[in-house]
Amino acid sequence: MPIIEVSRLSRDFSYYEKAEGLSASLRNLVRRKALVRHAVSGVSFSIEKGEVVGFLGPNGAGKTTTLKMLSGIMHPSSGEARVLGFAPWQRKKDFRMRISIVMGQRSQLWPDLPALESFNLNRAIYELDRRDYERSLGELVELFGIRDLLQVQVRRLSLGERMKMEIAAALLHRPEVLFLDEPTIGLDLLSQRAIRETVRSLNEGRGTTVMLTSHYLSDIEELCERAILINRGAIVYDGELAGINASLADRKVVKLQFSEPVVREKVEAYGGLRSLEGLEATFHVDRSAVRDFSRRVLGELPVADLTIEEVPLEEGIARLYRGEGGDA
Amino acid sequence: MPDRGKYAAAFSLGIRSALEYRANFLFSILGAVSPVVIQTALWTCLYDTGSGASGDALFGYSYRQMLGYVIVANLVSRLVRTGFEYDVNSDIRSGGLDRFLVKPIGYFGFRMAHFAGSKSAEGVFLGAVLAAALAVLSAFSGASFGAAAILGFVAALALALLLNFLIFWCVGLLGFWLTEIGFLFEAVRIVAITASGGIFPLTVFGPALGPILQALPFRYTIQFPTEVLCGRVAGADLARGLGLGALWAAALLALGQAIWAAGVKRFVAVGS
Repeated sequence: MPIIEVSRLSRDFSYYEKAEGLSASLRNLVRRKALVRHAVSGVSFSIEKGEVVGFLGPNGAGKTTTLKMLSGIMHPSSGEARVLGFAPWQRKKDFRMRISIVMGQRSQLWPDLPALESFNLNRAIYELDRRDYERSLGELVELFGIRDLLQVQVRRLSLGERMKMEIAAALLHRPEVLFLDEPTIGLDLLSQRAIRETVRSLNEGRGTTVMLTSHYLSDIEELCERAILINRGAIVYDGELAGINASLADRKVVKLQFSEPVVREKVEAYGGLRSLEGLEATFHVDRSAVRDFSRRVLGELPVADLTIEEVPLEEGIARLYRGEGGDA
Repeated sequence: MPDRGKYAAAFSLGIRSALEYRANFLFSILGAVSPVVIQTALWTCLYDTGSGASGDALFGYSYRQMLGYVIVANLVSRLVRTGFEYDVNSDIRSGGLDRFLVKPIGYFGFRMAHFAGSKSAEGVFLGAVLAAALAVLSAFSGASFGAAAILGFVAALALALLLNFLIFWCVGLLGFWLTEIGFLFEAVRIVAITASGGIFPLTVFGPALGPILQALPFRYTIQFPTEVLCGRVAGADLARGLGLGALWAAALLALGQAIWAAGVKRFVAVGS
């Protein structure tokens, strides 16, 4: 039985249109034109226990809105959702005891107090007995390497340190479902990696079900086997991460570095040119034609270096956002 | 009882938050000095020119009683002063409320326990300042503060804290509907301090406005505990005042719960 089940979930926001200028402002006092934005429209999916699912989408696609509905912070306009068998927005105590949400841009810690104080408060809030708490805290401290920082005022921590504390605070009660909204935003590479490793070991060790949004594809690539792509409030892809590029799998990216400038017409003549900037040209070439293509350019153009790569995930995602491909 | 543990933890967090802001609190006590000096000068002047003899009563207070009132009322107003309404408002506006909605703890209980915790930390210090002020007052004016008055004062002060918390809880929750609310907090605070007798006794407002102010809940937040301590309200009057104040507290509690229920419904419906 799925641990998260979402069926035709929708969320509209109403807002007011306002033209610029003083006269428009005055008109607005009397009559405002209400508009409706469909932040999430008719989204359906289900997630099994123990899955780590990447939830991808451009800004304003509806990722955060969906996570807010699933964690009970927001009421949907229509549709159904069940998390651990609960309707999240009823915010039953049993439900709240078993989930957690971390939002990268919103702190759950008290900035003026050391993180340990917030942890202690969470211990009381989640009714943990001291032994369980000590053990859970010990694990997380070990995992994040934050022992020396526990007594430091939260606002004196770096962004990366603070985010580790945020996640640790959210995990003390061993939630069965964890929603992570941009947990690595603004973090340096080392901190990003530390966060990813934690999420992975959490999932492997505790079997926690994780739903994760991120702008950084490397987060998703490292952690998730499955991705759900959302664009303009609707799901455009739901399946294996590897499937995103399925429609592009018959292609390779060939990059050339020239030793001297080459005129554009000459480069374009080979077909499949994606970009030409200075001495660097990028081509998309059919997998079967790569050998032949390489041989020709090496023989006919002043090539200093040639690399052959897979089409990056971004390319497949961008195509899905544009509504091309996506046959999963 | 696990729920008690949560609010005990919030209480203790309140104590520590207050200690983090101890410099801020110290300055607010120092800030009490200047209004006391100004008022002392004002009343000295009024009592002198009003009748030529400082022994006569103005607004039902002798000169010494008035000074006692002004000093005690000033300290009481510092002690019951809130500030959490700004936190409530910022929780609502910036989405900090989310963290409470997803956790198994009540926001009202959390805020109240936190407020009580921070007030208990301030109270220890302010109690010492108040004791010193009373010692000075009794040395200079011969006023005496009996044990019964002090006990009554403690009860009245607890009620005052509760009432002030509830008043500003209701005001703070308006943040669910209003976006720019800082000015409203200041306006309410000024009106509340005046209407509660925090600046001068309510009798100063004369026979037209005075009785109205006496009937409102505000007077129980400053004037009532002050007069209990100064020995002007005792016995049956004290009991009646505590009873009426408690009724107001019950009414405000109900009002607060209604506003909260409507506000959260809107918050969850509109999103932050």
